[in-house]
Amino acid sequence: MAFKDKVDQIYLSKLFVARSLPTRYLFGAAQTIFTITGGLVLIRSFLCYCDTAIDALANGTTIVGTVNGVAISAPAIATTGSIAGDIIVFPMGAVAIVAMGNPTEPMPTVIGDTAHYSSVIAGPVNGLIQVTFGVADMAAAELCSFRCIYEKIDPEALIA
Amino acid sequence: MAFNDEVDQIYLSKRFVARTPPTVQVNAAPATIFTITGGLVLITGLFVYHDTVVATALTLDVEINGVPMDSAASISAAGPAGSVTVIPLGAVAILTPGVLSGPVPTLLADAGHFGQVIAGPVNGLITCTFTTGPLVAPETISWRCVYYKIDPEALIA
Repeated sequence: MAFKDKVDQIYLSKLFVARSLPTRYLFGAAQTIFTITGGLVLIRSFLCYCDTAIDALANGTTIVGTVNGVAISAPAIATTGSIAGDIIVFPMGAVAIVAMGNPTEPMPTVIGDTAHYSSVIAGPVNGLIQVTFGVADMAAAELCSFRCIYEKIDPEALIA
Repeated sequence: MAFNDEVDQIYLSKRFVARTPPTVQVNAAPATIFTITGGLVLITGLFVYHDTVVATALTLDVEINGVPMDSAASISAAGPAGSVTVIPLGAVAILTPGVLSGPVPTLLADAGHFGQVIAGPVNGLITCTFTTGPLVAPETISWRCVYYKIDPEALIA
């Protein structure tokens, strides 16, 4: 195998990270955070980073994540108040989010791991990684961003 | 160590993926999906992907080197295009047929302490038997096998 081909293969086997920009999210409809295209991916983790303090999270805001319409957290999980730098780790299965509101969190989450969730495989049909906020809007100056850590199972697979 | 040798070593330690083309798989007897050659491999994932809608209810029985990778007669793999069936890599039921996104390892596999297997090239066969089905054209599926080379010449193809 040619040297460049080997480096290309090494590149394709590494961990990739998709990132979203800091955004203020309103409650209600599902928000598409990322889209899967090109092939199968193994999603190792999905998390929300609080770029600012988010008081709305202390006011009963709920958060639900899905990959291709399949829940990666239990519905209607009440979030906790957060300061800038806090992280919300999605459990990758339909169980409660318990890792939230701290700047350091176990990954996978404790309840996720107890329920045997850690990673999910998904393809580009539907292809939507979505989050729905409920109950309350984030205030005007409040921002959060998302990270999706994944492996490409197919060479052209991409999360963006 | 020379730079090229270092790249060679990194290359050998990376994760590999073997793939099959989309196929109208109809086997009632064990069909070879992949073959292990050259040395030991650590298999960390084995998946069936629905390239088209598969309306036919299927029962899969997957083995590696003759060792069951799921419990027999436990799976219905019908599902829409884009569905993924995760093989548990242990003799437990498959829990994730016909879904567009499924946990890896499967819930039962993780509960049963399965999730990856080591295997060598003697026998060397990764096989699948459809005990019900089979697929009907134009229904097609393809396979992915995610693995690491334990020996330098090991290969799954």
